[in-house]
Amino acid sequence: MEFVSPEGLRLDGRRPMEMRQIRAEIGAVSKADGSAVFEMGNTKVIAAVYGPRELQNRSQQISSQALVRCEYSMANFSTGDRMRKSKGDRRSTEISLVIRQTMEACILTHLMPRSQIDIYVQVLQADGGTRSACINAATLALADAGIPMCDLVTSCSAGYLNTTPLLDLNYVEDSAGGPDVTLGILPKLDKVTLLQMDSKLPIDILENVMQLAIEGCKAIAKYIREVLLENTKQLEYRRGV
Amino acid sequence: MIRIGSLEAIIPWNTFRCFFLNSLNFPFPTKRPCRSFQLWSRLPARITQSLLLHSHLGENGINRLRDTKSNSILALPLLLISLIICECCRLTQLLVSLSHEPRFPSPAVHPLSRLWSGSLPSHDPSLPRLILGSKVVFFPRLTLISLQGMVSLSLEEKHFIKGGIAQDLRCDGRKRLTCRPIYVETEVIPQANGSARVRMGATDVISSVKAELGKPSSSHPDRGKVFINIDCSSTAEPAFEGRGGEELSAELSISLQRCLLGGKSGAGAGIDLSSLVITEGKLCWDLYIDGLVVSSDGNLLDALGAAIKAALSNTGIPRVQVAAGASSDEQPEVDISDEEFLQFDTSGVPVIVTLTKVGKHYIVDATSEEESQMSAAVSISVNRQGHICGITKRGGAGLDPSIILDMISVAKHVSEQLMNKLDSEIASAEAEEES
Repeated sequence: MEFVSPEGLRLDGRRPMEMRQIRAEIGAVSKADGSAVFEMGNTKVIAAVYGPRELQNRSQQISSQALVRCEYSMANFSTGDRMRKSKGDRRSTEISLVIRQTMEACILTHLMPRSQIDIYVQVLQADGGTRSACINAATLALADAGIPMCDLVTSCSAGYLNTTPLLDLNYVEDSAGGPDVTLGILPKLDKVTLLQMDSKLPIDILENVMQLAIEGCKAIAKYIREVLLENTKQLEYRRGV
Repeated sequence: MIRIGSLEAIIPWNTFRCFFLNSLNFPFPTKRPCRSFQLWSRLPARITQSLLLHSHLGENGINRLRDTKSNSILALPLLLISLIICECCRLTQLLVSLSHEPRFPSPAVHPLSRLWSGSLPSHDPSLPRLILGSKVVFFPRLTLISLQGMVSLSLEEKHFIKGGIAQDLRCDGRKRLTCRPIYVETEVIPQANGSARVRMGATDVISSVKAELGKPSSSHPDRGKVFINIDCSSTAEPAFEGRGGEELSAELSISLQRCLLGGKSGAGAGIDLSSLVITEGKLCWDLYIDGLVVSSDGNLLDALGAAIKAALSNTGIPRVQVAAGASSDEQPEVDISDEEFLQFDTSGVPVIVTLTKVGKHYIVDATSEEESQMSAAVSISVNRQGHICGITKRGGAGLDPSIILDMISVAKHVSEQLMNKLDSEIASAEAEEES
């Protein structure tokens, strides 16, 4: 199948190095301490953060740092064909773990010992790149909750189809079976905190694809920073500061 | 907000509390009820005294608060805790802005606003200030934030809620039979045939309708099938994590089926099932109605009912051409149109009104704090003609039959308003979507 047309356009009309439209909104769940909606094209996720708060289960208490927990779930209507899946299947457990580890790496957990932070991400629409969208939403929600972090971790995926590196794969491109690199970086510290790839790819091309994903992450980081700044200005304005 | 040079930071209540407790090396107070009192009692006497002396209110201020009726008991521990925080970060003032909370028509109306008069500093930009996150701007909110999780309220808060309901002035300034404003957004899930998002206060639900071709059941060859399934997302409440939300999801699904789908035979259903049939006995549409609770602040059933109604009116079912001439026992060949959609008739879909009984009175559109104080709740679904389509009673306490009849007549009255409000919201949401 042809994923990049001779004119250099992808199936949804993007250029190979073009990202889908991203949109973020802070404060979707008013009861949570922090929450955010993140959209990448048709992929739409909600993240809510509760905490830092007391441990629900005392036996899990860590006296030197905060406990970070994460749960990923998909709504029944999120995929093209309706599916009925129970919570806690293998795929969601794996993604929960990935998100948790990525977020744990940037939260300054040692500042909040004997407490717990819960991150819940809910996929409303899945169209490829849910993992990245969840991490971006979780970052925003954590920032909204005012949890101290060393940097805003952002994530983006990139792939390699028809001998062209492609940024931000959608569902059709994702399920084509080509390599799919999901990357999470700390943009200010310039460090990679998440790297996942399936399928095979020559090393020299991997470098290109990774570079593309890093560019994507940085663009998202810039956008997230703008959204946060705007939100802070709004808060300030409402307080009459 | 704390300023260090040009750096500004807004610190939310929970993070602050956590830092604060850790800095004093306190363990978290363990027992749930009235956490703030416990924290207070754990502080050494020396600190408390110095706090009282140094704070701008002083002992007199606190005594004055204590005297202004029983309501102030609620405020007292919170005031103390805020004073400790002020002292802790060497700030002299705690500013709580009253005027920017949009949920209340006017701060002067609310019973708690009396507490503020004269006891809080006015807006003075020259003073150092502390804002406790986005949520902690108003007093009742402050109380509830400190008791997050499954809401467990202190005795005073319970009395306050019940007292307010008895006096026909609830915590958010509503009367007993006033609903929160309802906001409808349609076409939120483009992949579905129809979808809607409904918000009532902090309650936020999404409903989607997906239509799939199926075979009618052998007992009812002239009817399509409708399935309702509700999921409680853990974003709404940490307690819904894992399998925690399943019980509530099942309860909501069953109640909605009862209210919208009528009896087992399908008689009296709000949705016209016979309109879903394509070829009798062979082909019909299966409607999958999925609800998702994104944020929960009470009255989920009514919100879900409204979301389903909005989603159904947003639903377009593709027109189907059945190839003629297929023999009677074969599965007919179909041609599903991509362009032509049949609008669904939703005039018969009822709205659900839940009356929650707290103390001697009953209220509509209860928040989760009010729901925690309920003795019983009756959910009544009423259609446009004013006919009752289904009743569910929840909660343990017994109700007098005459009260139930009374509730039904009240629900009928409330449902008319709700139906009109919902219809106009749906119409405006669809108009916005088209523009």
